[in-house]
Amino acid sequence: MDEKDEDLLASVIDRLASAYEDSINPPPHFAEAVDSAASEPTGVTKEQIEVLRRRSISKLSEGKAAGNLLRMYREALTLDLEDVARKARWNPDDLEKLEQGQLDLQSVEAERIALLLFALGLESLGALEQPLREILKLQMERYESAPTAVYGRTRRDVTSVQRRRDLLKGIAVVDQEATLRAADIYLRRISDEMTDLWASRKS
Amino acid sequence: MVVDDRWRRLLPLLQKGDVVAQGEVYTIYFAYVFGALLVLARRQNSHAGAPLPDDDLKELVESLTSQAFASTFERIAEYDQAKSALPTALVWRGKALMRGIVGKAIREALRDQRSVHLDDPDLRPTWRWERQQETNGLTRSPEQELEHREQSRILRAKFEGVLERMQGSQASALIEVLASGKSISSVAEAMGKSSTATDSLLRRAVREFRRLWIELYGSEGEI
Repeated sequence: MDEKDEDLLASVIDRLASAYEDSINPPPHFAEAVDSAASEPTGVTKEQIEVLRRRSISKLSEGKAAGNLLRMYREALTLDLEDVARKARWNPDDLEKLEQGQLDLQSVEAERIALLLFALGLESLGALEQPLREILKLQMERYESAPTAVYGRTRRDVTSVQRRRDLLKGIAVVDQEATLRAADIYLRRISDEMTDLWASRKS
Repeated sequence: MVVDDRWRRLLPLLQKGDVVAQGEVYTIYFAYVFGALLVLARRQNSHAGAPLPDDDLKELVESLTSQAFASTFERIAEYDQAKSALPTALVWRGKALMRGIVGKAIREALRDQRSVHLDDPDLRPTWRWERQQETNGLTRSPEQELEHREQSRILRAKFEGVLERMQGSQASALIEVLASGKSISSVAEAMGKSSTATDSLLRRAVREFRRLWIELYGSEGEI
């Protein structure tokens, strides 16, 4: 290319970049450039990308409640709670409680949560992972051993989670590490089950 | 590389601003968008003499990827699926934002590498610098901003008019320069061609672009 062509090319590219800078839609033929870049090896492992993805995704649902997110997703799909419950083999009352953030996850197998998300067409925990972890941190509290046995009775309008917390308040110390571990195991069980469910559907 | 089209199922939900659907898009396409942006950023860094260490670049691209997703979700109403697949649009947003994030970091790293002289022309605002600030929207009033957006929209329509009439390989070569930078070698590498073939292709492409522009719009003033 001579200097004149080079100057023209630089000018065309600058104007193109400027015209499209603020556009959501890319210029024509950009897909080919992306495909060529995306097929190049990056040297970043799958595990490293997974860490980055989780970090980014957690910002998406920061401060949001899992139940509320689930309800909004179901409603955006215009699905009835009863229909989803039937499809996921859930009790509609339990599903309603889950959407309202009142269901004690200690009483729900992780695999049932996976079944529900699968019934909603979700492939991963995605934006629900962090809000679910926050619930699990409260509901799956693990305690350092209490000095003595603790007894209490069921109270009306008090959830099992709240009752447990009230009973152990001031008696046993929460083991934060064990609690986080328990929450992570529960979340991993959901993910694994979802992977199996999608794999079995594909096969 | 074939990208699946699961985004089509999620698009109506994204248009309703649904966070769970946004999470699904993240899960499915994060690796693709991050990988493509990292390669484009590396090409840009390499073209500038690689002033940024690769670890810094990865950190910047991580932030860039998040911003690309967030910005696309925020402005999803403007997205036109007839123009591109959603993953391509996500990479485009990242590429457009790259100028501000990676470009700035490269410029700063380059500046830190050299000693500063008070008569350095880069330290004074030049005509080109002022135009750049204007282009980046740093010196615009709301009215100027609106006018700029409208002008950009008209200019995009003109560019599309020309690019659609060009031979596919020539138009692709021009867009590859936009994506990979102005160095012939990086464009050649991206296109899997020799530097000589790429140089020749770009020469024909830019001349054809000029010819069509004049044919359609009468003058080459805007380019």
